[in-house]
Amino acid sequence: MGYFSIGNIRLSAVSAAVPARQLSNENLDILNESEAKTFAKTVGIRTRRVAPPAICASDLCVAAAQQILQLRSLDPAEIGALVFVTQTPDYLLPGNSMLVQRRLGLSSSAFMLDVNQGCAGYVYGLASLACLMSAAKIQRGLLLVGDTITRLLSPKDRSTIPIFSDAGSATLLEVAGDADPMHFNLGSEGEGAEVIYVPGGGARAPFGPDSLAMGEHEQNLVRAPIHLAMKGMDVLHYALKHVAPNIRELLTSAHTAIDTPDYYIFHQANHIVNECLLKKLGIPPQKAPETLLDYGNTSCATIPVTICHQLAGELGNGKKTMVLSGFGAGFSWGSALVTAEAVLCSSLLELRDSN
Amino acid sequence: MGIEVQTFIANLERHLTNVAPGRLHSETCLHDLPEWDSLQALVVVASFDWDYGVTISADEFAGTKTIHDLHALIDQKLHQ
Repeated sequence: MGYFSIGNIRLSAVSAAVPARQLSNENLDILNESEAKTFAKTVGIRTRRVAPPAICASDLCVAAAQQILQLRSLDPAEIGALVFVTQTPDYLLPGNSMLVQRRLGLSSSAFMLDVNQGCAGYVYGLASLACLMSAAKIQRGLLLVGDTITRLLSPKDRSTIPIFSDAGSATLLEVAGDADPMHFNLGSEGEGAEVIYVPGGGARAPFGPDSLAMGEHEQNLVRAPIHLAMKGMDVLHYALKHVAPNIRELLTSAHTAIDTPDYYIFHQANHIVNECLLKKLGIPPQKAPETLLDYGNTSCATIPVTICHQLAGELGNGKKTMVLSGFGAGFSWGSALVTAEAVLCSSLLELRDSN
Repeated sequence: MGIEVQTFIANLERHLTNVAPGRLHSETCLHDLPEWDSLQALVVVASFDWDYGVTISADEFAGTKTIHDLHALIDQKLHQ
């Protein structure tokens, strides 16, 4: 596990967007009555946001970024770097960063970078952009983090359909001499690469007729190689094993007590994991807002979605410290200790089909 | 001194709310319960973390048959 801190960079704005289309987990034909009941109680997801074909992760992120640029009256030319974190880019190539550079009207001299990261992606993206800005002396950077992960799901897979949801986000970082350092602690274990993965359609198993061959792994767990496969038990195991120690190590290294941060924003994977983390770390639930119930697991975007949905009114006033923690595909995990002071943060945007 | 079997079973029953109290015994095989499904398995694995601070992998869980086996596994991990 790796701890480091970056000084003189400030979190200035966070914005997030979800598709307006909302689907319910009630009466899903792939869950029987008993499973549906247990699901609501343990995983804790009631409705999900599912992007129609016309909306991609890039569209959700661009909407969020445009909101920040408008509210801050920023000239796009003032953005010196952009990091785009997604596992559902518009195309295999080129990367989303270049596509949104054009749409946002960023300068051709801006540093554009794509990062393939899953549910730990917000923390990895924040760390990457902060490092880049610090090393290259870039004044302003945008972090776009989002997925339309529902595009990768088999409609007949009960282990993924009721869980995943779509969202995109934008975060503005700026150089500020008086900013508290951002602290990061990142880790991964490649042994867990197949715990959450899409086996088909890449260079290892190029797309072909076999990519679409549906196979029944269990009852109501039918998918093809082109679909996202997730081993829920292993995800739970990795999360329980690594996340709490990672956060403890972050705080110890940053000389911060567990009860000091005002908020703990956990990746929203499922309610059981959140509950276990609260217990392990001894954090009161009111410090760890949840958005699972109505927004599901939006992959790399759960942290900004939760910030915008639950803390939009809080982060503009006074100084707040937040621990941000994500874990997922890789298997990877990471946490950040970030100070929020006068952060521009508005409530969630909704994107309609006609966009 | 490890975890008492009765305590272990009582804790499991507390988490497995779909299973009527008194139905679980040391020789019960969780996978054979009509109420059993993959979500119950997640609940059980999380409950070990919650109750004993012990994390087990999917393979370790799959390697057990009865509650007795699970109890032995948790007990052993607790004393590692």
